[in-house]
Amino acid sequence: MPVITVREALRQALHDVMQDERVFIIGEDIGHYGSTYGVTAGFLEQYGPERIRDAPIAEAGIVGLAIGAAMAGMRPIAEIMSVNFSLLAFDMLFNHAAKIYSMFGGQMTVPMVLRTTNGWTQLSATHSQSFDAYFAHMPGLKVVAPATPYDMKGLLKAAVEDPDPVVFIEHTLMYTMKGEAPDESYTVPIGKARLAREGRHITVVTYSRMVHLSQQAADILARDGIEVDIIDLRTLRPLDMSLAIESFKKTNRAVVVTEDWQSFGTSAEIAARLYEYGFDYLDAPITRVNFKEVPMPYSKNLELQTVITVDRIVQAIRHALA
Amino acid sequence: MAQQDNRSNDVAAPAPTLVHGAGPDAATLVDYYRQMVLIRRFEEKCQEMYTRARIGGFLHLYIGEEATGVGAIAALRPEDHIFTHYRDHGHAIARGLDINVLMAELFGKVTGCSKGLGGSMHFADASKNFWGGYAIVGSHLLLAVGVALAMKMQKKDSVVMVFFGDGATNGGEFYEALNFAQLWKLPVVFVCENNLYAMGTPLEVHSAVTEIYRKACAFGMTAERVDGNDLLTMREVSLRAVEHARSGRGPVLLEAMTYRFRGHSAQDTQKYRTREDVERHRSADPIERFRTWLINEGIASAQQLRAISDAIDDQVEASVRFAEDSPEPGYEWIMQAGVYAAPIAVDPPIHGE
Repeated sequence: MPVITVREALRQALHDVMQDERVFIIGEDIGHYGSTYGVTAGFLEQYGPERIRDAPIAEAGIVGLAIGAAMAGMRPIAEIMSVNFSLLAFDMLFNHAAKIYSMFGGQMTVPMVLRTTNGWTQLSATHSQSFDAYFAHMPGLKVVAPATPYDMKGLLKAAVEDPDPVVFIEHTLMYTMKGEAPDESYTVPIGKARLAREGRHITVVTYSRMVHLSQQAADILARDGIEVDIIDLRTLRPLDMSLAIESFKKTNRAVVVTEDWQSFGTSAEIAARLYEYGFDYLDAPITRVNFKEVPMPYSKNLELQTVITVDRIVQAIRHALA
Repeated sequence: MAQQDNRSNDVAAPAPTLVHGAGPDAATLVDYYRQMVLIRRFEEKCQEMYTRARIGGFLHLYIGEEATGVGAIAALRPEDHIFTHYRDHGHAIARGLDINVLMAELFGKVTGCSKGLGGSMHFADASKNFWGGYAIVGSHLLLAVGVALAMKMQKKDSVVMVFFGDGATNGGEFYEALNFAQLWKLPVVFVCENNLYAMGTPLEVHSAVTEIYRKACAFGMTAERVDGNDLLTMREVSLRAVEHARSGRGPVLLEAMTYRFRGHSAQDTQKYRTREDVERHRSADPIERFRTWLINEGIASAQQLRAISDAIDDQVEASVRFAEDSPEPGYEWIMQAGVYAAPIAVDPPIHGE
């Protein structure tokens, strides 16, 4: 199977779905500028300005127009350059996209995708955030956050084909990551977790970029004979906990690694489900690894102490096994 | 002529005068009267049912503004689209939604237009391109622009008409919507129902520019201020705006001057305006104004119009009976397909039930 980057996987998926005339992309700097992270570079030249719509810097408008167009039979992909800017579109997403199908008694659907990206690289407090938990909190939305090129490609196609609004969360530090993905078109189902690594001593439940850091942590621990089960959730809403609970019943210990703030974050929900369904199998408190609870500092020294590192995951796993 | 402004913003709008060109035939004119009376009687019955606790939540009545909605929607074709705000009863009736399903919606019944899930603020009928009432002030304008974008991309010549109040023209989404629509020359008619109050805050207290149509100047957009209480003027100006949008020349902003006779919602004590003010506006009731005109012009007799009104009373009573006799939605909605068009089952289920 070919080895490609996350960026290339996303590009392949987008080229694939663009075969459907109903699909168009709307976002900031996706065309003339050449795309901030290179995902849609060359698309304007190939598909033209009708379908590759460079939008004003107006996030509510980008998402609002995508919702309206979706209601009227299109399959829009709205791109919010950085998840930090998505806050300006939360009214659209929460009060409209998430509600329209149910509030009007199922008369209308909103088959749109919101592509956006988490990430941090000395961008400081307002450009280094994660709102995974906010998105995943809202009934009516579907939320995916894949980790590998294979899943990026398959889940993006699934998201575009889905009749409900889907938030598709990428990560700026993952675009150059490589992995296997077939050339042909395929989908990965929304709402299905996967076993990313098989072990027997402890369960790590995670998603997105943290899957890779957890793998590195597991490699280090393997030298000491510690075998780690890694569950990649892939979808946050609806949350498929079946593999995580199954693994937990086997290992009796768990670490939850999510790249957001701990308080009321995604790790809180994941840990609560493990407690609810795995309480009788519990040998130790569940440990969580998250951002430190501060607005992201600019200084590289402080930033690296705020974010999750492989070393922090290793320590958390050792702690949970102690 | 109604004031037109597509260049500068330093011309004050004079009071619009009646415009009656080669207008609709007698039967159509009488039907406009029927629609307005139907809205009025329906709303009065809603107030009564609300007082009797048969209707819950908020109740925002369209009484006093009937000519604006009926006149504007009269300019649309069936394949055109409508978005509106939480004061949506009048637009739904003008679009031809059956008042039985509207009353049932208010009663929270499964036979309601939105299956009892939306209530007063969320009437909708997708089969009539009536995309619904939205209750976050100003934000539905962007959805309307999105439908217009779809129409343009699908090469259809449908127009989108979106209603909102004067209070919706100060938030950012209004400006984003106008910019997108004009930037991409989308077929949208923005209809601002200026009833002089953003809930209970007077126009001059909430908006730096009190002639709302002038806000279109920033986008080089065609805009007009119109007497929204004069049905025929409203219709004519709307027809012109719709034609403009349909021809590919881009969006239009209409500012319809109107007035609601009742409070913002059924709970409103109306401390922000005097009884005299309300009475002064009531004396220019748009329905009475149109009724008098129909009689004076010899288009319909007083008896004929009274017969229409009487029939409407029966129709409204029947809608209450329909709503009362209808079943409520069941719990299965919560546990099943209510939230997603394609629900995805997970194990364990989300509620753990």
